[in-house]
Amino acid sequence: MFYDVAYYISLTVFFAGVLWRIRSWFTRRVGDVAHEQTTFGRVTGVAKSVVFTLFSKQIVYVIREFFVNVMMQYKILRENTARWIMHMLVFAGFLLLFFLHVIDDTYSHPWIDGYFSTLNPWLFLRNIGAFMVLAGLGIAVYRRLTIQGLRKLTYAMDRYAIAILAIIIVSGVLLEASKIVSHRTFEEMAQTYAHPDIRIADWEDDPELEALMAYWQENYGVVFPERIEPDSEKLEWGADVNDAFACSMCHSRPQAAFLSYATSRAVSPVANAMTNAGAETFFWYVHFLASFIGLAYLPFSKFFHIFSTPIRLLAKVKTGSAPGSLPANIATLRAMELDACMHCANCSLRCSVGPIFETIPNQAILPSEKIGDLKHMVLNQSLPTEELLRIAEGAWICTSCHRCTDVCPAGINLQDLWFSIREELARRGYPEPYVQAMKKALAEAGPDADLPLIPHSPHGKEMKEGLLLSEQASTFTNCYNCMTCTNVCPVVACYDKPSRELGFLPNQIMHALGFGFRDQVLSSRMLWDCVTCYACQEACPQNVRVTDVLYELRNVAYQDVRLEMNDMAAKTTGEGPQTKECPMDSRRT
Amino acid sequence: MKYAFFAGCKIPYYVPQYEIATRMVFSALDIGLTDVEFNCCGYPVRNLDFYSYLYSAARNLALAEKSASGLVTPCKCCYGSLRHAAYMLSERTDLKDRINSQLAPLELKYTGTLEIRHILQVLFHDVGLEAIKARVKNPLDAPRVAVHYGCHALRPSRITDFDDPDNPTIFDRLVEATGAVSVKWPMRLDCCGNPLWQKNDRLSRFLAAKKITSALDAGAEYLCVSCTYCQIQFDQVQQAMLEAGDIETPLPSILYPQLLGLSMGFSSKRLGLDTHHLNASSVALPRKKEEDVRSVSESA
Repeated sequence: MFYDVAYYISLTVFFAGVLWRIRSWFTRRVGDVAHEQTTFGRVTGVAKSVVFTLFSKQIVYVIREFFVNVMMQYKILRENTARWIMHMLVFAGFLLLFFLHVIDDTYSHPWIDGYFSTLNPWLFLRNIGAFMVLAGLGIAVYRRLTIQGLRKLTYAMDRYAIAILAIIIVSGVLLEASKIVSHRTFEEMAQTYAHPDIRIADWEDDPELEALMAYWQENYGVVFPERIEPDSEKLEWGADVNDAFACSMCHSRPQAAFLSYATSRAVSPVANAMTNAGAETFFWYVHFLASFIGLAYLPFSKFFHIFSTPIRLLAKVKTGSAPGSLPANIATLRAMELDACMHCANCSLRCSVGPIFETIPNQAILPSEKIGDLKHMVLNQSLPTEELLRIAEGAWICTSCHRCTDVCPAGINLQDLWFSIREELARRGYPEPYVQAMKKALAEAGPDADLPLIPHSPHGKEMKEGLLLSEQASTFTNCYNCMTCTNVCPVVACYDKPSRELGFLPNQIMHALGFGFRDQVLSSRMLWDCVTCYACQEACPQNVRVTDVLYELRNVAYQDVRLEMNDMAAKTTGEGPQTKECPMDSRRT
Repeated sequence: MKYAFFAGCKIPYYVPQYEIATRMVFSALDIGLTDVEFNCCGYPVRNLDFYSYLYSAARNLALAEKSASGLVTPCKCCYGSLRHAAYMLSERTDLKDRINSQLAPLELKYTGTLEIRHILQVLFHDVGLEAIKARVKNPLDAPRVAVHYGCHALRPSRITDFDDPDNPTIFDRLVEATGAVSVKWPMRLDCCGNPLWQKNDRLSRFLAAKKITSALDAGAEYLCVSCTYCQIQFDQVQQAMLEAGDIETPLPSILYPQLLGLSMGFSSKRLGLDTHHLNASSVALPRKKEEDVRSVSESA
């Protein structure tokens, strides 16, 4: 009853989840191209593409891709041998268990003739499968703990995946071990196959039973309430009884189930207590419950990659004039790619700007987290400003070097996704951080900015003392306004009336800094249209580090954006204002 | 000296021919290169956060120090960025200590012994003009080339120490070693405009257009650059400018290692000249008769 109900519920959840995920491949809109496509167009696009692939030369590439990258997982091997061994152990071990054990329907197997779960080689192979999965999981845990960057990027979903799989396997081993030692199971079997009135408590009155029990105690690992003294005569007789009642037809010796047998030996001192406490039933429930939870959770977890990643890998090979390059199919591929990521974090470990995460703790900088942000953004049309600012910062700190795409074992075109993040952000009015900082500085200049004379602003001193990072930024105090910097500036030279277009010109900015005119300086177009060619700095007779100062002023303006972002986030989370670190940076636990 | 090769972020995907040509020429001239997986030089993030820039650059310098005594890059923005970082770290021991303590968990440490070079410096100073000329088997037929120096290598000169900031010559002399003619043009030391790309595209294109027009007016047939960003600006962006009508006459841009490679006898296909947005392959061809006459009459 429990089994059937739990089985059908989890199977229903599983299929509903899978359908829900597949539906999203045709409905999620990622980037500009997707907004021009209908769901119907995307479904027919995929249908066309599949038909085209099946009846063209492309099928050869698909088959090749299937063997090289889905079965042998060459892309993982190319990146890291330890990781490949880890993944192959889990993958092959799991497949072995799935085909030999999960679908065996308890005793008979739909495909394998002569299958019996308690006979060799099945008994042995099941343990081999379990051993492979456990070894793989061990390597996975070890890697996640010891590889510095990877440890930081291990979240609940990664831990759950490892934990559920581990619970399923370990509870299976314990279940098998508790059956090996169980005198109760022995008694039930004897009653079923020998005589319904058999009681193992009566062994002293029944020499035949005693012989069989002695034989099973010595050869099969059963632990009886009272130990039976084995002697060679008893054991010989026991062997005959074992054959006579056909026990041996269905039971190989459990030593072949090396994991479970070793466990059963380890627990043998307490085996009777375990059996009396109902350990078998307990582990049975744990094993099946964990398996059903795993099944139901699969479409909603990173395990879904066992379907989505191979599909993505196989879809990848269609290029060129094939229908795979239809805009509708690009939209579908991108939506699917969001599911194909299994969060291995290889991209983040190799990312060109990954080290910047050490100095700007915004996880949106890292590709493996950025893909989650994109998903988050696509699913939520109304994200709060601070969240979009945070995503925008990550989206533009990327230098588009393409390395993440090159190293992705799932073959996801990550670079393409980052372009679509930028498109999504632009659609919602969030430009790149540089422009964001400029817009904010221009917007906040206030009415005073246009006044020719401004009193010493209160943050004048703070402003001067704050400019510390550039090489001698405070050199602006040396400026005697000779205008050489402005005269050599190629940007100033682009305009007939530069002051009208650019606000304060370089010499005016240097001079204004001496007075601490923060807003006026930050809101000058000149600051934002600087090409950083260093002509001004090179020419300055007073050794003012003009370009470096302008660089640093842009940093100051961008700090304002970050501070605002942090304050908004702090309000949302109900914490006090934080200035140093963005609380959203650690929002994942 | 053995150099760690710092390609920078943009080369592998957007300008792969630059790396290919550089490696071909360097290997023909027996300059040993070591490959290290570097991160971004920090240049793009410098507008947002100086410390992030410094940390990124320093991480690369520390990585390079592990495997070589020098670092060479074909990109002038990477060059300027790394030189500036090395300078800051030598001036500011507090920043150096802070960064080294952050690098310590990665088993990295920046000591400050690394030589940071641009490929042109290695060719000019390590190999030398005479040795290069000796390897030029197939001198070019005097194509008229406008040499674009690139700001971030040239200035600020006390930090970059590339060449005389007011009257640099090494790039011109390297170009002339291939048989090309380096034309005199007024805007050769100006900015290509790329740093403003995606920030103020209009101004970025306007600056490029001014330079292209100036070079064309001086009689140039090609631009020669040795910086990734300058090449993107004068190739990809120039093509967009032509399509938009910002300029009328194209001025194809060539990367210096391609020019040198051609004169050393490598084919223009192997050097990737046909992969540019604006095809520059004709630089390898012998000059037509009437053009010869025209150029002679012009110079006369």
